[in-house]
Formats: sequence, C-alpha cells, structure tokens
Amino acid sequence: MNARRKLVDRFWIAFTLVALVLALAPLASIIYYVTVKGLAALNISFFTHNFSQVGTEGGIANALQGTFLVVLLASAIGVPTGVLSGVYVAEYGSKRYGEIVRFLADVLVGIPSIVTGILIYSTLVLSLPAPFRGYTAFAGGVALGFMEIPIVSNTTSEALRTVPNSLREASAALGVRKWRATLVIMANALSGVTTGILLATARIAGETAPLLLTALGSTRGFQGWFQAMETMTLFIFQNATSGTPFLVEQAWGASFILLITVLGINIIVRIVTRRRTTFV
Amino acid sequence: MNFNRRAINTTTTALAVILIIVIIAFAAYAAIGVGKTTVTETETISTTVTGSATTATATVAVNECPGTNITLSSYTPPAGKISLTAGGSTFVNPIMQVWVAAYGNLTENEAAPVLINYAGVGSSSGQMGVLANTFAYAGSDAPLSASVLAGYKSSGPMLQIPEALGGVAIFYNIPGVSTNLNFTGPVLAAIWNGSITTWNDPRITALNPGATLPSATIVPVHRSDGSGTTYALSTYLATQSPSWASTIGVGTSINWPTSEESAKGSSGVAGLVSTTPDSIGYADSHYALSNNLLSADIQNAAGKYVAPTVAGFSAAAAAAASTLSTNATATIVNPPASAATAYPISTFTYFLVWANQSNEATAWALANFMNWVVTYGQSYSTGLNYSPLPPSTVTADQHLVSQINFNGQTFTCP
Amino acid sequence: MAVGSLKRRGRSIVDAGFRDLSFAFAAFIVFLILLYIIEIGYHSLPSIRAYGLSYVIGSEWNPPREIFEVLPEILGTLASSIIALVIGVPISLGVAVFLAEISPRGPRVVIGPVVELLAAVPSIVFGFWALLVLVPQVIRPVEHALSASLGFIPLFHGAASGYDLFSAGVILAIMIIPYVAAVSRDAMQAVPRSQLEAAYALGGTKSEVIQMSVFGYARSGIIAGIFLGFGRAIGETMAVTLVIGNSLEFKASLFAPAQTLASLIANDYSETIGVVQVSAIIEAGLVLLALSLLSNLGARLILRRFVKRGAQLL
Repeated sequence: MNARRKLVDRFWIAFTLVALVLALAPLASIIYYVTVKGLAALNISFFTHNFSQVGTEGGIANALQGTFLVVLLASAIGVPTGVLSGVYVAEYGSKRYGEIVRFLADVLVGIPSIVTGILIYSTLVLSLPAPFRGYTAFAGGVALGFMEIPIVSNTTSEALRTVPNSLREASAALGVRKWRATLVIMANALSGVTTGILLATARIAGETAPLLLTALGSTRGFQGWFQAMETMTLFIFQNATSGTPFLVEQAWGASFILLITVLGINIIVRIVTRRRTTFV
Repeated sequence: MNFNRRAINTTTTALAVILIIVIIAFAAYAAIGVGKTTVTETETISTTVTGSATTATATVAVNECPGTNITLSSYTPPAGKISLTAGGSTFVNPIMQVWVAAYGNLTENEAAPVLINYAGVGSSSGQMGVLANTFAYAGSDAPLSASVLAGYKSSGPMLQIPEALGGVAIFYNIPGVSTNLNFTGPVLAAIWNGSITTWNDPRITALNPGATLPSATIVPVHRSDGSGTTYALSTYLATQSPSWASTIGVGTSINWPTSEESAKGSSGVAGLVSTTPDSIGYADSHYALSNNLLSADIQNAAGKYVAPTVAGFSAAAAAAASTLSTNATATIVNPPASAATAYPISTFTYFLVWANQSNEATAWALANFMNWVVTYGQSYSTGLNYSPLPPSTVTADQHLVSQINFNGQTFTCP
Repeated sequence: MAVGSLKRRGRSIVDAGFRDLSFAFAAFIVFLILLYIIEIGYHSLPSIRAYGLSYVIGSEWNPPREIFEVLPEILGTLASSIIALVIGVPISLGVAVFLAEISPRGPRVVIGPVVELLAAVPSIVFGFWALLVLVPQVIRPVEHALSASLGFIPLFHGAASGYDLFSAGVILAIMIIPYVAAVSRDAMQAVPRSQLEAAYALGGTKSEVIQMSVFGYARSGIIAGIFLGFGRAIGETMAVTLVIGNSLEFKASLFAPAQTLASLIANDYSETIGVVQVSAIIEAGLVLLALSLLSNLGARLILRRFVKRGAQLL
C-alpha cells in the first residue's frame, strides 16, 4: 500500500477523532460551567425563597414546586394516553392502522415545542371562559402533556415490540384472554416502558417555550391550577437575560439543579438498562 | 396468572425505587409550602447615584383613607385569598415587584389577603393582556391609544392611572471608559439611526473632552418587544431630530433603521449591553444601577447635562404640571428651558384597568391595592430611583381609583 | 367450568373493552395531529384573509402599523438551520464513523451514550451557556478575526458582536449533533459485514472501505438523519432567541443579527392586540408547523424506504 493512501487514511481517522472532540467539548463545557457557577449560588435561602427580581434574597422554591406540579399534570395526561396508545399500536393494531398511528406519533414528536405553545395559547389561554382563561398552570400542564403523549406512545410500542413473539403465540395457544396476555407482555417489557416514561418526563421537565405562552411565570407559590405558575425553566430564562449579577448567578444555580436532575435520570436509565436510544 | 418472574427483576425494581424517591422528594417539597416573599418593608437597593433610600411606614392599616380621618366604606370583601395575575411594563417592574410583595405581606393576615403576580412582559403585552382580560391590570409607560381601545368591546372606560415617575437612562459598555459621558439629543438620535458609527466620532468627543473614546464600532441595542420605554425615548428623539419622526417613528415598536441588536424586556437590553463591548442601550434608570452600567448625562433644553436622578424626574414633572392637570397621560419628555434641573427623558408609567369589573373580590382588591400604591407605595420610590408622584397627581389618581366598581359598588375613599 | 363457559360465549367483554380502550387512546394521536392543523389553521384564518400572500412574501413586521410579513424570519429560520447542517453534519458523520467503524468495543460503550447525552440537556441551559460562555469566549473572537481579515466578503459584514446568525447556527449545530450522529451510526451499523469484508479483501484502507461500502449503503439513512436534524433545528426556540440578536431585518451576512419564526413568536406572542393581529402571530406558528411537517415527513418517508431496503437486503 503506497504512502499517500496511508496518509489519507490517517487523515480521515484523525478527522473522526477531531469530530468526536468537537462533539463532546460542549457537553463538557456546559457541565463544567453549570457546576462551578451553579454551586456558588446554592444556599438555604435559594431553596426556601420564591423567585424575586428585586433584592438579593430570591430563590427557586416556587420554581421547583411549579415544575413538579406542571410535570405531574402533564404526566397524568401523557402517560396513560401514551401507554395505552402504544399498547394498541404494538398489540392490537392492524398492520396498517398501527403503522399510521406510529407514523403520526413520530411526526408529532418532531413538532416544535413553541407550536404546541401556540396551540394551547390560542385554544386555552385566550379562549376559555372567565375563571379559566389567561395564563394558567393548567394550560402549561396540558401543553406539556400533549408533548408527552407521542413520546410515551413510541417508547411503549417499541418496548412491547422487543418482547419475543413466542410469548404471544404461547398465550394464544393456551387460550389465555388477549387482555391478560397483553398484561403479561407488558410485565415483560416493564423496564422498557418505565424508562420510556422517565425519559419523556425528563425531556418535558426541561421545556421552556410552551410554558412562556401558557404558565407565564410567577413570583408566588402555587395559587391554584388556574393561576400563573413559575417553573425551573422559566426561572432560568427570566434570570439569564437580566444582566443583574445576582440574578444571573441564580440562573446558574437553577441550571445546575435542573441539569443534574435531567442528566441524572438519563444516566441512571442508561446504566441500568443499557438502552439504545430512540430519540425522546 | 403467572407473571414471568424474570420481568420483575432488579432493573425494574431499581427504576421503580428511583421513581418513587424522586416523586416523594418533590411532593414533600411542594407540600411543605413554598417560599417566603422576599421583599420586606425595608427592602432597598443601594445606589451609586442617588441619595438616601427610604423605608415605608408599614404599620398603617391598608383600608384607611390617607390624609383624612375617614375609614373606608363598610364594605367587607368575601373571605379568602385573592390571587391576581397582572403584567406589562418592565420600566416599572423593579418597583412593582416591591409593591406587590409588600402589599401581600401587609394583607396576609387579613380575611382576604391580596396576592398579585406581576409579569414584566413589556407595555404592549400588558395592554393586550388587560384588553383580552388575561391580566387583571396592566403596567404601561405608553398610554393606550383610543383607536386600539375602540377595537375592543368594553362595558365601560379603561382607567389610565399614573403610578410611578422615572426616567429612561442611556447606558453603555465601552472598554476603558469608566466615567459618565455627556450626550445631546441630536447625537443620541444619530447613534440610533446609524449616522454616527464609531465611539470616537467628533460629535461625541466634542461633548466629552476628558474621555478617551476608542475607534470601535458602536453596537446600539433596542427593545425587541413592544415597549413603553421605546415610546418615551422615541417621543424624545422626535423632538431632537427633525427626520426621526418621519423615518423611524414614535411608538412602542418603531422602524429601527439599521440591522441592530435587540432584546426582550428592559432587563434583556441591560443584560445584552453588559455582555457586549462597545454597546449602548436604554431602559429605566434602575436597570443601569443594578447592572453596574454607566449612565449618560443628557443635555436638557436649558443646556445643562443632567443625570437620570430622582430630582431630575421630579423637575420634569413639575415643569409639565399644567398640561398634566388636563391630560394625565401627556408626555413629559423634553421639558422647556425653564426647568434647569430637569432630566429630558423622564416619563410617568400607568396602571391600565377596566373601571367596570366583573368580579367583586377582584374589584375590591384592585381598588385598594392601587389606592395604597399611589399613596403609601410612593415611599419606596426614591430608594429604587423613581420619584414620588407629585401631590396633584396623587389626588387625581385617587379620584380615578374610586371609579373602579363592581355593578356600581365602589370601594375606596372619595 | 366457568372459564370454559366464558370462552364458549365468544370474545369476552373485558377483551373487547381493553381493545377498544387502547384503540381510543391511539385514536387520540390521530386526533391530536388533526387538532394542531385545524386549530392553528382556524385561528390563523383572519390573518390569512386579511394579509394573504404578502404575509410570507413581504419583509416588514410592524404590529403597531398592522403590517405582518415574515419573510425575514423564514429566511432566518432556513439560514440558521442550514448553517447548523453545514457545521454539524460533518462533525456528526465523523462521530458516527468513529463509533460504528473505528472505535474499539470498550470505549464505544461509554462514548456512544455520552454523545447521546447531549440531546438530554434542556434547551434553555444550552441557550444560557451559549449566551454567557460560548459567544463571548469562543464565537466573538472567531468573528472578530474573520471580520478583520475577510471582512470585505459580504458574508462577513456586520458588527460581529457575537449575537447574530452565525452564533445561532453554531448552537443549533451543537444541538443537532446527537440526532444526526445516532441515526447515521445506526445506518452504518446496519451495513452487512459481507460488504465490508469484500472491500477489505480488495485491499482498501479503513477510510477507503468506509467511503466505498459504508457511505454508499448507509446513504439514505444518513440523509434521513440530516432531515431529522434539520427539523430539530428549525423548531428550536430558546437557545436561538438568546443569541440571535432579534433583528427584524434579514441580511445575507453571518455576522448580522437575525430572527427565526420561533424566536419571533417567543418575542411577540403577547404583543398583538385585536383579533386579526393575534391571528397574525398564530399564522407564524402555522408557517413554522408547515415547515416542520414538511421536513419531518421527508425524513420519515426516506427512513421507511431505507428500513424496507435494508430488510430486503438482509
């Protein structure tokens, strides 16, 4: 083999290594900065005070509460719908219909989150009658829930698909009711289904755009489902651009908490299941 | 039914345990109840420009008619927390947040605590919100135009109540410059319309002989959202530059000519200027102070270079007193030469609220909150670099606030 | 026997009930996509009727004057996403090739998931980090250098403050890398060993084998991955809004501030007053929805063709 080809070969291999470094450097940098600057912001008042744009005593208390509640509502909408839909696609759907639903779910996953925000903004925020209209935690939860449905549906149907057909054939041969057989199959795929739910939840907990148009943000704790609410992501957005040094520091702190939660869930899921990603 | 034992394995158990722990942790956190509001009556911001910060007299009952011995009408609100969402001007946001927090603290032990959540989303968004009834009231530095109001079916007038008096500071971030620069109106107009492009332009150096200005390109920053601060600044620049009104315009969103940077909200502009060398921006003066940005001294009609201080804003308002007595939302930029100490880009900012309210508790809360703001709330002003409202404005405001009603039932002092 | 008699009665009620229940929830997915299109379309109608084609052809967005035209934002969306592809695709392919062909098994098990972890970072954290770290420390110096040396080229005109189209493109590139890399890697790993062995047998070096066998075979999968990345890029809001400079004018220059459809909506969604004007901002959402549907449909169709072909050849 002549020297030129060898050199070209080495060059391309080096290129892939450079590409790898370029791909990993941002992740390393984000983790580094968020950790170093975020830790500096953590103290007791950070966790016990509400979001405040004046003074130096604000914190993420209501943001944490808001993220939890909004994600809770979103999951209440998204998980049952998504799981049952995924079950249908995997177990009951005729080839055609199941494929269509799966295809549409893929398309839904790709819709920008701001468009989901616009949908809920025009249908709920602006159009509901008096006590329910306006910027509400409810609207925020519905927006995130609509985002979660197709994600959970896809991960569920894929998890169910990995269960070998022999199990289904055996249940049929034994005369087991289809719904019982499905429950058994789900039990087998339980780890796949649960990890799908966890990853979907982590993903929507990190969303900001739809909440800008629905939950708006708040300087107070939870005031009811039909009042505005603060979340961690809104907190980061509102403080990050402010330029006020104390508020920017708070944004780093909130980013730290959010990042370790979201990345933590992702890392644990991957370690425990060695799951190959389908993109949530 | 025989579940496959393998399915309930360590993996699933581990995941389930993690999930349960996370849920319990968050639930406990949420249940404990959240955070204190962080503003106390003695909340102040230390300033490098203006003088003393004041504290409010917090021991006054909230339903007293100030300056009189009259107590309120005997109307009692329905018991229970009243939560309101409001939003709008970022110009007023620093003091508005103090007001809503302080008022919430004052009323928290009453039968009907009033908890207001104000979102600084810009004057235009505030106007939209109050018109569409997604906000209980709006903060706006730009008056609501009659034509816009006409487009909305309403059951009564929209009250526009001056609530605070402040000034638009022009701040900048020039490496190597650590002093307050002098600017004139025409020079500012030239910077934002693109005729002056570098910091060492002769028109700027002529005004600032003592400063070393670099030859760097100026990066002007403006508001990307509809802004009452933009309204105030553009109204002022239209008086300073003959072509400004026709080419760029006056309003909450205008035709910024060059492809300039912009950011959302006053804090966004201040933030962008903080991180962008050689940039210049505008916002309520409080933002310059809290971001440690230098503000310019602007030349007023009397030829003096005035800093954006409380005294300057008061002088501008005083110079316009007779106009304001007939039109409470008249602009006070570019005061006449007789006001020697006036800051040329001063402005009031207003509450926008429907007079006829459709909910009793909301009407009561709004009336009392606004009454408190224009009277006791003004004691927070100087500490945050706003001027207290002139007494004539306070009287007019209380008159406006008394028009807030539910089915004709009014709530405050005459 | 009780069970036997149930069986003899035919399908059990619970069976049918369970099937119908899951059918209903699956139907919700169909309903949801129709909801997007119909609701957003319906609420855009006043604006479509009022402004017609000028909405997507004109260049001025001026709510107080009731002029709503989003061509600069459409161009900004496309330009920032194309820049993201130009920067991100080569890196993603390099990573994919490394993971699929070059890396020894040990490191691959660790590096693969780490690359995918990039996709899990919330977009607001990306944007915040870009605003305060990437742009001031990395992009601005690069822009100043390029502007100083190559500033005569129109592509490099502009103030080079860092908050511009170029930065938006870079942050989008970083965000799409995990998507493009993962799909490309899957496509490359699907190449049958026989193809690779044949190429090696012919005496190819590693890179030649990859060019001959892997890229050829995995091409449609890689293209699907690129579409996926493109779709992701056009819809990104938070990271872009913080660094793109939010200018309402599109200039064909990397170093000038710009605006995308997503950042326009994020900035202006609550600004418009009046039924027609509110509908104008919703129409911006409709245009973005249309763009993303087109891009995703393109990707999915190619992916399905790829999967079918792979199944045939395997």
